[in-house]
Amino acid sequence: MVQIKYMLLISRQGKIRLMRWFDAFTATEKNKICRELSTTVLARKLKMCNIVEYQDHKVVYRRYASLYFVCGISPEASNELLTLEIIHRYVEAMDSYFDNVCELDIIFNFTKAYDILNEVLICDGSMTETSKTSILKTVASMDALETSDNLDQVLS
Amino acid sequence: MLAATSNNRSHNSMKGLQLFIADLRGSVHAEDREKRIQAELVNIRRQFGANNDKERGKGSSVSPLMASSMNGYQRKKYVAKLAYILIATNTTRIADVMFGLEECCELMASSIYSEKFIAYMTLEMLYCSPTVAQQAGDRIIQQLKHDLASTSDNSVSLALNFLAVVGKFDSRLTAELIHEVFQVLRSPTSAQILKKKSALAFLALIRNDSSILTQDARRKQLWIQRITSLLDDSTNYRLMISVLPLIDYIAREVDGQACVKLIPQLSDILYNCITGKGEASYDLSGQQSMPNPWLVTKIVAILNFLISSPSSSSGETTFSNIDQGTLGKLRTSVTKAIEIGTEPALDAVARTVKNTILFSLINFASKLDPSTDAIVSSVSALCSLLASTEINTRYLTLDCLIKLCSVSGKSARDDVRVKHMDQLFGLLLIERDTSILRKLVDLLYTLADSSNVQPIVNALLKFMTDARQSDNSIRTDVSVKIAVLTEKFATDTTWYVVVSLDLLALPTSSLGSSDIWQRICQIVVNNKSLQLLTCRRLLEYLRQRGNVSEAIIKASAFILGEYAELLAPDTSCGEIFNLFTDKYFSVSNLCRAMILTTMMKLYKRDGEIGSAVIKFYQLELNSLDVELQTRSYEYLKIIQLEKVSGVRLVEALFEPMVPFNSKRNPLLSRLGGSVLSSSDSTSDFSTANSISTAPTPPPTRKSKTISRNAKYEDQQLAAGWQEGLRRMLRHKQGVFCTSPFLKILYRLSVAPAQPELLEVVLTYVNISDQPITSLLTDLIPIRTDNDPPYIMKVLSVPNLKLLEGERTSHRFEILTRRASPVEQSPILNVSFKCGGHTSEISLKVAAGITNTISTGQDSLKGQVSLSQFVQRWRALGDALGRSGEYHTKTNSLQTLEQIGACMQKMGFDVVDQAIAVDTVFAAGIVHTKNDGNSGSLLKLRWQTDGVDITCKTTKGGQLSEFIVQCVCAALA
Repeated sequence: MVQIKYMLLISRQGKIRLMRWFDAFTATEKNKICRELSTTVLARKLKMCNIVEYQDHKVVYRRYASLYFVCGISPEASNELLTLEIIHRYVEAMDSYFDNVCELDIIFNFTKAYDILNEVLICDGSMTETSKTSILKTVASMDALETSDNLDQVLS
Repeated sequence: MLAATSNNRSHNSMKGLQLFIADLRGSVHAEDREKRIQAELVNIRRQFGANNDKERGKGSSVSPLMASSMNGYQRKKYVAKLAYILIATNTTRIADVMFGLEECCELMASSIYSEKFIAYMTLEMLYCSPTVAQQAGDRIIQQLKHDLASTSDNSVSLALNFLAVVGKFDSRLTAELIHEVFQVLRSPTSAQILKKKSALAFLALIRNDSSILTQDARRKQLWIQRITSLLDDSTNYRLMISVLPLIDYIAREVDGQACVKLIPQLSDILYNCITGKGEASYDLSGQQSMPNPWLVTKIVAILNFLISSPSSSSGETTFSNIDQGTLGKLRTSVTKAIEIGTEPALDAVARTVKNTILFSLINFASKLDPSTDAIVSSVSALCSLLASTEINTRYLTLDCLIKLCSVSGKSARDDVRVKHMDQLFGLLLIERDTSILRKLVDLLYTLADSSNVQPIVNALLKFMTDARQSDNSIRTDVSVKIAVLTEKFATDTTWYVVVSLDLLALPTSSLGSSDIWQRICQIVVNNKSLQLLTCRRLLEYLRQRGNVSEAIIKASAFILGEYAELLAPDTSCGEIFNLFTDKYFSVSNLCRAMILTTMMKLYKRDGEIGSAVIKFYQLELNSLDVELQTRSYEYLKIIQLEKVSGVRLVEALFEPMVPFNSKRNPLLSRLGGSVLSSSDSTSDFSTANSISTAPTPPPTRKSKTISRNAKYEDQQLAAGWQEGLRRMLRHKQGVFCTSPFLKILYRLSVAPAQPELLEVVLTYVNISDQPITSLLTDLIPIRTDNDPPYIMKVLSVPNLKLLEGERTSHRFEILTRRASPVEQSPILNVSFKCGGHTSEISLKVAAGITNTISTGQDSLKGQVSLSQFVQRWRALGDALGRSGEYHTKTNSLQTLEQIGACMQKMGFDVVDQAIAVDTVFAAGIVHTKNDGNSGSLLKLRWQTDGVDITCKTTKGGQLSEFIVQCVCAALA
């Protein structure tokens, strides 16, 4: 049983900014989900609840500025509120890392966005780490590594 | 959060990539974007191609300076560009970027972290396509092996991330790499972050192919023990977060039985987490500490799975198998969660956390045999949340209430019915969100019974007539539910008819398909008492001005056609005919066809309307619809034929409707997805009342009854287990088992009030020089269902941790229901970790029939004289013949005194005599729950080569044989 089936970041224009599939889907299925969800979720009004029943599972989403964070969760296992919390954790982590994150940060630094996601969620949508501080610590140590790599390159 | 503009602090150091992304963003039209992507693809292909050519040409004549023209940085940049193209095109272009695979693998082998990272990230995206594994599988696996064995934590971490993300796509990864991942997981020197990641990577791999565990029993046992021992550090909640999903999976898919013994440990963690002991709280920015919701929900999910609901068939672990201490902790956790959930929260985040904990524990509470009070307090806690302004909370509250009402059964439903109906009805009127309304309707449906069906149906009907709801799917759903509820629970026929027809009178669009009116027609046909009433009501509808819903017209066409004569004195067939002609042109063709048939039926009853009917049919001969045309033509011909030949043909063709005999309500199948089970309902209205909603039991482990027995067979008993068993048969206390680390002592005692109940206290002593951790115990009976010979109940479990020289006790009871062979005694399985060593011991705990033996007359000093013995011996022989007797010879070499002493220790009454010098006479009473008490007499004759034993019992059957088995085992 997979906790979170996928996570998508959809912009208000309906463009996918980031995606991660935690469950096996075929290319056609993925396409369909991307297409249908971007219309369904974007069409929902601000005051509606953040849970939508879609296909055979539930979709939990939350909007942050111009980006919608959308998660598909399996109906029996997952807790919807917690999924919202996970999204929030992810956004918080990115927010601290990028210092007030915006959509452009995620577009231009998509590699970092994936990197942070890996620190929050992997495998079947299980959480790797719940503490924001330690997520950031890991990411920072990787950055340091990268910088020193670059430095080595310049020096050599 | 998420600002609207960038603060221009770029973390991305690749200029070319930045430019490319900016270009794509800048191009307004899709074609421009497409062009830019194409151009970039061509460029990258050229770069990579050139590089490959050089690589190939390296051996020949190209200078080494040229060959290194593509350095790591460039390679990284191009691979990153490919990754961005993949994202920007929603992975539709995966085939177009595949050419970069080679370079990607090259980049993966780089020693520079950022290059390696980009390669891994891109491969994570690409790997879902099977071509990757085909083309580069070997190379990737080799590199992964290399990285997993690396001394740099960062490389290991990247490889683990990769496996965790893509492990599920390719079972080859499992076969090749699971051992390496397990090494990281079990190694005590791995950093915490690596342990966490390896736990999840291991999970991803094992999901693919769990045969690696299931095929090898030894490895399975060892690995599972290693994994569960990761929970030992009860303060390290962060590690648990990642390990728990793995344990969850093992419990569900690999070996649920191995996890049953984790219940006390998990309960402990849960209890500490919820009551705020330890550091289970979770870092909300500068706020009061809060239980970590992820930890709570995960543990509850596992416990929910391991513990079956009380109503489930025997053979599964239910609350009654859990010791009181653990159960108490779980119940306290639930109470505490309700407390936490209902106290006001400081902000939205804290509220979410509280509610999450509340919902998950309330859903779990039904497994713990909750008292009515507990259910009532859960219900009122939930209902207070219904007033929450937070929309998601309301949704989840309803969801939780539905589960509570359908699982916890009557007491929960009654409480809601008595106290909270008005609140729910109020919500139905003001709520606007479809998701919530759907849940609310489901809840009302669950709650309905014959006492409250009227207000519920009225509220639902009001909801339907309210024009506010525009979503048709929910309207269809509600209408089906109304139809089912009225049919199932109505006690008043008039009410049933009124409500059903009101339902049909709703606008057509909301009824969806035709199931509902058809079902109502069926019921009317089968129930005479409804027919007249229905006809009258339908006439009223037809007489109304303006549009009548099509479902009403269809139902009228059928029912009035069948039962027009019931209305005879007041309303003539002619009048009905006129009503239908009025409506005829405002309805669909299908409905018109029905009306044509109805006219025929009216004509059958009243020949006087013949000319009008013929005129109408003649008119319809010109109909554009071929069905109507044919029907009119045929009916016309029938009337003509009848007129010419004088045969009453119509009479024969339109016979009255016979009752329907379909037993199943077709509407119920439409409710398939609902939480309720679709109980069959007969079409006979009068008996339909007795059917109640049967709640669906929550999913628990399947086919467990078999696995339990299989588990008993599976146990590999420790060497020398017979010694402990023998000692336990002979002595009331002593040493049960000694291992290099652990010594187990036992003490047996029988409750005087209930002599068939044996209480066993095992004391575990740590005799090693290191602390023992994760001391887990499991008692495995031969079977728990199908008339088990004995029933065990754990009173308390031993502590998980034992310091050097410390001891802990384990108490349980064995209730003997009937006599059984001593080989079927329960098996105690103990596993523990000491230092770096994990071990597991399985031993048989004697549950022999002689354990609870007693000497008859305690008050009279219990001594039986030889003459009494002989007298009883004879009496038994006379009464039962040989049926209660058993004879065997054992080759025990004990002396006569030893035998006598042994028998006495076992609890037998040994006859004090000096006449037969080579024989011991013993008597005792055995106790069983099912068969009551039976007396037994034993004669043990000592011989040089063994002991000759004869036993007689007051009850026939195998009892004497079982007693002799125990004696033999004790003497051996």
